[in-house]
Amino acid sequence: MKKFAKVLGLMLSVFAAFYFVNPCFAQEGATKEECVAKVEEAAKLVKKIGLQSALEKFLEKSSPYKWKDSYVFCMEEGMGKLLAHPIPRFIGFPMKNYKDADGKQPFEKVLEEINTKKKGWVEYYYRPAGADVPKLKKTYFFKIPGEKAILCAGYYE
Amino acid sequence: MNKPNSRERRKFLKKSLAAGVAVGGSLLWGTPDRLFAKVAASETPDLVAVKNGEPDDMFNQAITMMGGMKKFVKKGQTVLVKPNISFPRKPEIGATTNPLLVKSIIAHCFGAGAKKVYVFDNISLSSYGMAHKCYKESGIGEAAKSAGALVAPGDNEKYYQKVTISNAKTLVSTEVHELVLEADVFINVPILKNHRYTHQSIAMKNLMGVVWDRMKYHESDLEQSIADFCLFKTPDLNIVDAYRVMKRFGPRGSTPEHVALEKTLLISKDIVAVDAAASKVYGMEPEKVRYIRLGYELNIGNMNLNELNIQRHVMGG
Repeated sequence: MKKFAKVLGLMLSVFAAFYFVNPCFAQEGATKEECVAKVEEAAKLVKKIGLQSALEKFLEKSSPYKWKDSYVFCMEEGMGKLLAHPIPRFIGFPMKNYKDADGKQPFEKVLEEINTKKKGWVEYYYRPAGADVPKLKKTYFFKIPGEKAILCAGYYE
Repeated sequence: MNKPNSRERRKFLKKSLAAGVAVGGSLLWGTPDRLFAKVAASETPDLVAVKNGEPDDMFNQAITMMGGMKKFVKKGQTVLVKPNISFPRKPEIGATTNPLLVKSIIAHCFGAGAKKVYVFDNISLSSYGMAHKCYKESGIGEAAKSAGALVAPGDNEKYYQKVTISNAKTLVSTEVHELVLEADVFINVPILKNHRYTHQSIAMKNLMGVVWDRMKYHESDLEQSIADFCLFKTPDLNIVDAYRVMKRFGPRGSTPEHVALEKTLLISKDIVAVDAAASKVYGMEPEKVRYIRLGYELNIGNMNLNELNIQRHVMGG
């Protein structure tokens, strides 16, 4: 009986370790540092292969620019027309007009000031896929040098 | 001499009428509307507002004050009832029309002699195959069936027909559900709720659910498109469910924490007037809601509530 309990305990420990460490099970959210790193990495990719090819890479199914509960998205300067976003129907939407779950327009100021403030953070309420309640999202934005485009990635607080 | 338009004629009639009625008395919520008491006997009100009851009881009262459902539905007619079923949400969230209200409306339609009553909404998430879930979670699918209505599908383009809208500024053409074109009577049953793009979603906004391509509204000028559609079609009756009013994170909503229990129901043939009154219930002046203002400017209806014959009733009061 003691042996059985020991085996069961070991099995549960292994399962728990796997459950909490493996990102597939742990539901771990993206971090602030990851958002900055992914966006800057994406900007380097644009410089290396060009904007159009990079946009295609961002949209690939197993793109490294989609990770945990986050993703890199890209918009044009001006009205902020979305050039890359994991939700296809959003592509083309002018982010300047975007209102968050609370009715605010978080990207209006970002787009107006992008040529003086080339990177920074913007906050807004966003409803993650499948969530009932909107969460506060903090998004890092970064103007790609030499391009009229902005890369973004956010995490939930 | 220029012929006066319908709004000017209406203003003149209201002013003449008002002059003949004893002036005085409060028009505040919570007191019976004595100002229009004499008018009620001879004229159908422009708008009826009922407060402090359950959704079905308030509707029974409101439709009686409006002259009964027989005024709108004749024997043998086909009726389309269009609630807001946009999201897979329970009634407590205030995102969808109250099922008790929908059930009561259907019962009144059959009571008036309707041959068939259809219920449908082209939900926001149609493209994801969520329609069934929305009908179920909202309780409207079950409520409609139990009252004898036919729950019609709206999640396939084949049910929609292309129409053009004369004088529209942005929504020049769209595809409209066949039931809107074919039903004898069209009853619009929105819920009053917060909307992140338009401040509020009420009756005019609810008509987005009878067109196929909802995104077209968002891609151009949403508020202008909402008003433009009303140039094509306005419902025969608008019944606004303001029992639970979502105040934040609309139109989808979040938790009951952001829902105010207003226990109010508004009905009117005038879609702009009912939206204006609902906007007041919400706590916002109607002229601040752009699509209501546009509806007024396009002569679709009247947002000046002081020009209307409004009857109010407080349940149990």
